[in-house]
Amino acid sequence: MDAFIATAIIGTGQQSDQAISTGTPVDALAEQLEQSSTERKLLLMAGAATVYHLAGYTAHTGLEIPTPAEAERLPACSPEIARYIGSMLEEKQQELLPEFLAQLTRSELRLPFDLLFPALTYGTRHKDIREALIPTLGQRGQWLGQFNSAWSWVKEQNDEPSEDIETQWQEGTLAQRVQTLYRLRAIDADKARLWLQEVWKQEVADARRKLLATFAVGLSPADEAFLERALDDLREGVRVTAASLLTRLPSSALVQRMTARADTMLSYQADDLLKDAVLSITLPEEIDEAWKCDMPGLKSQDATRKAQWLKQTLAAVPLKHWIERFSISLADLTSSVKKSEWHSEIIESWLEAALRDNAYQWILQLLNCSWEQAREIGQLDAAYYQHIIERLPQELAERSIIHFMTLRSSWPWTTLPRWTMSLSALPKPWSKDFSQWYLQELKKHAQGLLADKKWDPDWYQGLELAALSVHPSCLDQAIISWDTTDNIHFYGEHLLENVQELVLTRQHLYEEFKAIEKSPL
Amino acid sequence: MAPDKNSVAAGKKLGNTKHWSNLGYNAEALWGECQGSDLYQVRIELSSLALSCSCPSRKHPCKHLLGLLLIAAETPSAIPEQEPPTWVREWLEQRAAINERKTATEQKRQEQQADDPNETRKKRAAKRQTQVEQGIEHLDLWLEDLVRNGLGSLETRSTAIWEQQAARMVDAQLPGVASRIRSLIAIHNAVPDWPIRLLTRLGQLALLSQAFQHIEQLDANLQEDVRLMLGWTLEETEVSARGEHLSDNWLVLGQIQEETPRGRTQRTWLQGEQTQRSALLEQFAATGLSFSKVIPTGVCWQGTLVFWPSASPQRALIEAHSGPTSSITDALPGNATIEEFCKTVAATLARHPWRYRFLCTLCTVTPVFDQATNRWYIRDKQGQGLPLKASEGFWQLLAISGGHPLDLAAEWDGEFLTPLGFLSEGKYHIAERAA
Repeated sequence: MDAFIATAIIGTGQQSDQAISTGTPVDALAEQLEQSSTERKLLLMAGAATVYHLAGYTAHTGLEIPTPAEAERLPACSPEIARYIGSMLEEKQQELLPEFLAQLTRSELRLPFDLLFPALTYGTRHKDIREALIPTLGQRGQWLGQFNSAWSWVKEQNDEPSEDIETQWQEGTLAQRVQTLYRLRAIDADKARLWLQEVWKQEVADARRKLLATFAVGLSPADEAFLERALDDLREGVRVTAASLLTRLPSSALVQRMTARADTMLSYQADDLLKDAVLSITLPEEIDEAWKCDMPGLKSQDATRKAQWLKQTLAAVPLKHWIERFSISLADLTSSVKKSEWHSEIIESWLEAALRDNAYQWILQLLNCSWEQAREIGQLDAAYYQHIIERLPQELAERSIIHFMTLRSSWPWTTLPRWTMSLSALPKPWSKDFSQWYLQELKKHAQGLLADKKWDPDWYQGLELAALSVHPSCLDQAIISWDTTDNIHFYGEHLLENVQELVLTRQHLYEEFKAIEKSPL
Repeated sequence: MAPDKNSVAAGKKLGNTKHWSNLGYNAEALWGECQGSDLYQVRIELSSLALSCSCPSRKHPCKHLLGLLLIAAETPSAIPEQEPPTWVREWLEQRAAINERKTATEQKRQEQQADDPNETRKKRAAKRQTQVEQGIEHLDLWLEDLVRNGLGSLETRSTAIWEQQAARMVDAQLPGVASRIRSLIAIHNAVPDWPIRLLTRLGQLALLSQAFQHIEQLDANLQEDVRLMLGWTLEETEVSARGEHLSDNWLVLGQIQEETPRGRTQRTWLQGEQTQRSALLEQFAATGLSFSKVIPTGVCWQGTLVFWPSASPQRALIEAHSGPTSSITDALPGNATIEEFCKTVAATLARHPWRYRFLCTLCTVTPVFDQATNRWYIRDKQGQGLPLKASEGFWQLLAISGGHPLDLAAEWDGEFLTPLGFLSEGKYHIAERAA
C-alpha cells in the first residue's frame, strides 16, 4: 500500500509504467476494469480500497478497564438543588457556593455524577473552595480524581491517615508530611516534636516554616526549647513562626524578656488630685541584638523603627500583666493612653495581645478606643478592622460591628469609613439577631439615600452582603420592595436586581433542603 | 435543544414554578404563563412538539419554553391536568387550520405538476442530463490531472483550487459533488497525513463518477443514492410518496451540529426500538437563523418515519407522532459487541459503498481513558475498543460510568466515535460537547 500512496503523491506522470497495487483484494477487482488510464485505475482502486478498509476495520485491543468506583455512601441531592449548584459551578452566583456546599454536607448529601466534572474543574481553578467541595464529591468524585493530574488535590486533601503514619512522614510530599505532623501533634505532641528535631537540619527553609507551624496544635512549655533554637534560624520566615509561637507561651523565656523590656517602656502615674492618670512611654534610642533577635521580621530602619519596637514588644506581653502591674482596670488603662503620641500603636499592640490570648472580655473596649481615636483624626484603616473581626468569635464580631455602626452615625460624611469591609469579615450566615438588626438599618439608611438621590457604594455593597449573609430565617425580610421609581441611581438598579436574585436563590435552596428534612435551619 | 449556552442558563432559572402561573396540560398541549418584564404565554403542542411563546425573543426555543420543558421534565406533578384556557385552545385551532391549508396547497401543487405537459418536463430533464454528463466528464479530467501531477504538488498550491472546481460542479448541476470537493479544503495541508486522506476522498469521487456512468447497471435504490450524492434533490412530498414508511417506537438518541461556510447543519440520530433500524434527520440553517424544527433528544415516541429511497436507507423525515413523548429509560437496542457492530458496518457498505457515517449503539460498554497516550476509548465485554474523537474530553461519560458498563449511542465515521448519549442506571444522558 505504501508504494501505491507514493505513486499518488509523486504522480503517475513521474513514474515509469509499472503495475500499481494496493496489496488488498481490490487489486483483483481492478483487473476487471475496462480499458482505463493509469490515473483512472489508481483513483478507482483508491476509492475501493477505502471501502475495503472501512468495512474491515480492526478494533483496538489490550485496553484495561480501571477498577470501578466504590458504591456511594450518601444519596445525591435533588435535581433542583443540583441545578442551582450547577449554575454556581459555572460561576453564576458563585458567592453562594461555600454556603450550599456546606449545607449539602450537613444534609449528608453529595453532588450527582453529572456535576462531578464541573465541580472538579471549578475546584482546580479555585483553591479556596476545595475544602468545602471534597465532602460533596462522594466516592465517584474521589475515583474520578485519579484520572487527571490537575485533580490530584482531591486525593491530597482527602487522604486518610495511613496506618503507617511514619511511612507517610518519611516518604510523603511536603503537604502530606505537614498534614501528618498536624495529626500527630494532636495525638502525641512530644513525639511530633522529636520527629521534627531528627530531620530539622535536612529540611529546606520553606519546609521548616510549614512544619514548625504545626506546633500551633498542642503547643506547650515542652516545645519552648526547640522554638528558642528556631529563633536563631537563618531564615526569617522560620524565626517569625518561632517567635509567634513562643508569645503564646506566657511562661516562656521570650515572653519574660519582652515583659522586662516593656516594663522599661511603660510607666503609669495617677494624679488623685486631678482625677487623671497618664501612661508615660519611654523608648530607647537603640536596642541591642538580643532584643532584635526576639523580634524577627523587623523591616524598618527609619523613623518608624521606634514605633515598631514599641508595638512588637508590647504585643508579646499579655494584657493582664499591665492590669495587674498597675492595679487598675482596663478602662483606666486605656484612658491613660489617650493623650499619648503612641496611642494608636499601644492600642493596636494590646488588641493583638488580647486576640492572641483569647481575652475577648477586653476586645470591645479596645476597639472602642481605637475607633474613637480614628474619628478624632478622621481616618480609619478598614482593612485593619476587617482583620480583627475575622479573628473574633461570631457573637463578639457581630456585637463589635453593631457598636461601631452606632458610633458611625456621628462621623462626618466626608470621612465615613468603609464599614462593609468589616461586614465581609463576618462568618456566614449571620445570626438571626444580627440579620434582623442589619436589615432594619439598611432600610432606614436606604430611605434617606433614595430621598436625597445619593450614590453610596457602601450601601449597595452592604445590600449585596446582606443578600449573601442574612440568616436563612430572615430571607423573607431581605426581599425588600424598594420604591425606586426615578430615584435610583442607574447602576443601582442593576445591583438591586442581582441582590433580589441572590436572596431568591438562597430562599429556594433552603426550601429544597427543608423539604429533605435532614438538617435544621 | 437550546440554541446556545446562555439560553440553557436562562432556561434553568425559569425551570422553577415560582416564576409561573396557570400551568396545565391535557392530551394535546402543555402550557403556562411566565412573569418576565411582561406576562408571557407559553404553549407546546405535544404531538408535534411545536413550541410557541409570546415573548419578543428571537431565540428559538426561548428561555420561557426551555423553562416550561424543564418543569415538565423534573417536577411534572407541579402541572395539573385540566382544560386549556382560551389562548391555548385558539392557538391549537390556528395550528390545525394552518396544517389543513398546507395540505390543501400541496395537493393543489401536485395536481398542477401532474397537469404540466410531459414534453416540458422531458426537455428540462434532458437538459439537466446533458449538463451533468459534461460536468462528470470535466470532473474525471480534473481528478486524473491531480494524480498525474501528483498530490504532493498540491503542497505549494492554495486551497482556491478546490473552490474553483466546486463552482464548476455547481454550474454543472452537481451540487453534491461541489459539496464533497469543498470538504477537501479542511484536509489540504491541514493534517500530517493529508495526502492519504485526500486520495481517499478523491477515490470516492472517482467511484461516484464511475457509478453514474454505469448507472443503469445498478440496483434501482442504489441509483437513487448515486443521484442524491451527485446533487439531485427530492421534495419531501416525493420522499413521502416513494420512500419507505416505518412505524416504531423511535429513540431520539442525540444530535451533532456543525458549522459550515453557509450556516449550520444538524444531524439527529434515531433508532427504532423494535426494528432496531437507524434513521438520520438532517436540518440546515443559514447563518444567523435557527433550525426550522426543534427536535428534543433523549426521548422516545411512537411514530412513523419516511426514509429517502436508498440501497441502505438512512436519511428520514418525521411523518407522524402518534403517541406521547417519554424519556429513554430502557436498555438501548444496540449491538452486544464491537465485532457485531463492525459487521453491520461492512454489510451497509456492501449495499452503499459511499456511506461514511453510521449510528453506533453498543450495549454494556465501558469508557476507558488511557492516561499514557491521553486517548479515550469505548471497550466492550470482549475487550475490543473503538476510539473516541481526540478533540473531545469525555469526563462526563467517565463520571457517570464510574468504571461500570453502560449503553452508548454514538456516530461512527470510520475512525472515531462521537458520543450522542448514554444510558446509565435507567437514565439517558445527552453527551456534552466541548465548547
